[in-house]
Amino acid sequence: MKESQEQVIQANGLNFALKLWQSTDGVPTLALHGWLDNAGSFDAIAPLLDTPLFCAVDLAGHGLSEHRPEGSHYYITDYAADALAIADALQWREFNLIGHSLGANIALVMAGIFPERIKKLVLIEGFGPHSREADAAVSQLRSAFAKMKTYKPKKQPVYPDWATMVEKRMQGSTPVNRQAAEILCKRGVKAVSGGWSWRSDPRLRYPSPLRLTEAEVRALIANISAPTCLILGDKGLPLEFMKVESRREKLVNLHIATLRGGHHLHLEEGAEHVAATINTFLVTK
Amino acid sequence: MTKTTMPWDEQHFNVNGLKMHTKMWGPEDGQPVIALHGWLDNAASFDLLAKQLPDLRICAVDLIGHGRSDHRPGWGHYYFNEYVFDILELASCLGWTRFNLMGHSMGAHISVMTAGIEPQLINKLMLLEGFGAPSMVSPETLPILMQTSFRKTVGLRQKSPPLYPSLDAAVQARINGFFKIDPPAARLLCERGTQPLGEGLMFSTDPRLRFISSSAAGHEEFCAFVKAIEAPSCLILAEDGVPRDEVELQKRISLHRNLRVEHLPGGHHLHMEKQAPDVARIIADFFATTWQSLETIK
Repeated sequence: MKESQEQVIQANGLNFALKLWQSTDGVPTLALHGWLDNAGSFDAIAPLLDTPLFCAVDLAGHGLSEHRPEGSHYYITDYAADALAIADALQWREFNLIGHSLGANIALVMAGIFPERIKKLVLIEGFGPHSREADAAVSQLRSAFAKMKTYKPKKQPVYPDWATMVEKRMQGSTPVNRQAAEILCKRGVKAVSGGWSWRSDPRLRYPSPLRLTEAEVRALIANISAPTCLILGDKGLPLEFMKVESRREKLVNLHIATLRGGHHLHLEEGAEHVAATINTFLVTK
Repeated sequence: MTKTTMPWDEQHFNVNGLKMHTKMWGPEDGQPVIALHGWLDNAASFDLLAKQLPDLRICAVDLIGHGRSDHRPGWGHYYFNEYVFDILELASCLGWTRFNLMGHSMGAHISVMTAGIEPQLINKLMLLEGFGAPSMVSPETLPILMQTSFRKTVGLRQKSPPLYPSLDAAVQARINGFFKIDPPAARLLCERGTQPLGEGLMFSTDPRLRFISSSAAGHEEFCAFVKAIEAPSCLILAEDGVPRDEVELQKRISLHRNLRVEHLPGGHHLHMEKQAPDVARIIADFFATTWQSLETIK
């Protein structure tokens, strides 16, 4: 499985763009990218994986997929509902699930809601949604509303050329190397008058109105039955940020692999090691 | 129809890209009140009260997904916080920088959240048979609740909504609904809350509303909103209303800085039934005391 194919599928009321790598029949794998990335996130590892069918999704508001309708927000639970609807539309009953960063957080929620459908769970640089304490609900909603009021959809940054765009992505909040930035930009930018702009929905950058509490995240983790592999970059996100230590005790069958690399280790030099780790994990009983 | 024959104005507003219908009651210079109905009800919920409170400028809304208002696009959930955003946007459409909020049941829950995030906007808060959603969940039950909700969404796509041969049949269905209600009250809600379909009628509420919401805030979060409220508030509880968790209720009451609690005989929809005049008297008395303008509170 070397070449990927493009497919558009309707699920949960939106059109989703998918990248499919297919070789034979067997347990398929669904892959969910991180915040502001797109299905290109898995370009480096997909050809190296021993999985018969690999489907990388452009999440709602990202890549070539549709944005949520006006007035809507991007909730983790709706992403999970989307991904399950995509699996339904592909007629996948049971599947493996791979997620990176935000995608890992969504994957974890899915595996907690429908444990019987997920055979194996691979989390790269993400270990469940950001949570907040109950008391922070008020300030969270207040800041989301304040941001919403200032939303100006027509005022998005425009970059003069492709090279500037790639540079911008390289220096993003999670820096990546040139090759990774080019892959992400290929699917993540669009031509506008005067140059190039991001294709992703600007509303993705706004504070979410809603967050789960830590107790709710733990309840979801405790409900996961799939063997789980957590892959971390040694220069990735801080472990405390992902709450790895406090959350891991809720998972019965967890394997943690720390590999060399940053937050996007699966799209940079670490891709081969990430793929090898996943391949070993998928064949382990 | 003109104003002389109708005691209210039907008005609609564009809120966050969606059309929101309202029934505007009373004199334009009356004390402004935004009234929010309960789950699966609509603006008609306040018909009886509005008639008995002729001095108030009451804006009774059809919440998004209910009555004559638009449904939320796509297949997402109905998150409570989005109702809050809708109400704040509506207030800005009305040009109201300070107003009273009145909510029944789920509308009371939304009122509490609204008053909690924008306390300076709210003069007084009137809560009818609601001080936190009855579908409140403990963290441990969240996965199963979400599973049910997701499954029902899938099921819904393959199902057509129930069709009623006549308004009477829809009224009968409403009388026997989840919250029992008197026939005249059911008729008021059904007149506004149904639309023709083929030879019959269907409820105009978004079928997605019938799922157990996966977004119902937990008890602790609701308490955070209660603590943030600054508006003097009044809570009316019906003796035969929805079953309540007394321990939780008392905790919420104790967290509010300025809350008056009234108990009245009647059911969950007491404000639409024979106790409506008693409810109206309490509301009139509560709103009649000092109106605090933005200037006086600063």
